[in-house]
Amino acid sequence: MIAQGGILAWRIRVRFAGKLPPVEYLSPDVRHANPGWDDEAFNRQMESLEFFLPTGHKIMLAGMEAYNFFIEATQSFSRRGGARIESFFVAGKLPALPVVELWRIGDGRVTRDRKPWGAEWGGTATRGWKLGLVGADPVSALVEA
Amino acid sequence: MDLTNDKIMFLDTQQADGDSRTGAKYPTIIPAAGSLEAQKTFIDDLSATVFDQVPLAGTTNGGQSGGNKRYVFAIYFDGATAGIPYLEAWDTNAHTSAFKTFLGGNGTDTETPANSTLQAITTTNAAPGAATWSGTPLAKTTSRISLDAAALTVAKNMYFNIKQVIGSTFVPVQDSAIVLALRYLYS
Repeated sequence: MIAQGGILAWRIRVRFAGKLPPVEYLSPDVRHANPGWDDEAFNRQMESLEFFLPTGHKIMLAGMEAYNFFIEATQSFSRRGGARIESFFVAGKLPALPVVELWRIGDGRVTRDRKPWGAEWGGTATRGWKLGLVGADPVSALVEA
Repeated sequence: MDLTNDKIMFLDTQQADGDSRTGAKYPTIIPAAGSLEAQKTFIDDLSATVFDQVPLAGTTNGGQSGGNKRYVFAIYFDGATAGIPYLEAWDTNAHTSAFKTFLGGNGTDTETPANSTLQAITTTNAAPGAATWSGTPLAKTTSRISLDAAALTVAKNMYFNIKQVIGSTFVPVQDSAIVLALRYLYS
């Protein structure tokens, strides 16, 4: 289990709705590569979104009305500065509710929260939401990979 | 501005544009009563070895040409963002605290972001609206400014203005570890 998590760690896996290939997409390591969330590869209706952790676990979202993934970074105006990643966010909008399931991976911790739709980060909206496939029960969980 | 080597400095009216950065420095004088906006704003330009004045910085309460001005400081983003970019201030590059007196703290273990001496205003979409704009105290994520009204969909410049306001009870201190920081989302 841990080995699989290690191989997939820091990657996003999306399963798409429908039967047309590709049925899933696995991103590169998002710590070092552009996640490409705005790219064509992600622009299909999604069944589920997974984010793999280095502990052998994954965050899994499924059955959501919409999905988002983004990285929080800072850039100091400082001689010791430089852009750096602060945290990773995996988000899913619950069907028919103005509520976002928000997972944050940062500072060595994983935290789960619920935020109002349109105010999910810093009290403001995020962009980049992808259409999900609703119908099944929503899933928002941290599980073994 | 060279983010690696240059600094923003708030100094007294005796400091002049083009002064050598290795020469005399004239800090802001703490007022006997009330509060005082730092008279002049400079970029400590390491490569040019001089203090470059930012004459439009601050308000008309300062000693230069600040006021209801829109295009003073700019930050350029070369692409879209996933959220609104924010401008913040922190004790150090670790981005963990705002204990420093410049940021409203007691210097050791207490934070009071609302009392930060650094006050900024976003001017990306409009001028401040007043020549003596108040601005928002900068300290941590608790008290910061959003640099636009929404996440960026295209590359663009964002604008802001900043001042330092020192109260009569301020204790003299020099600190070059304080950082302004840009916080943003990408995907």
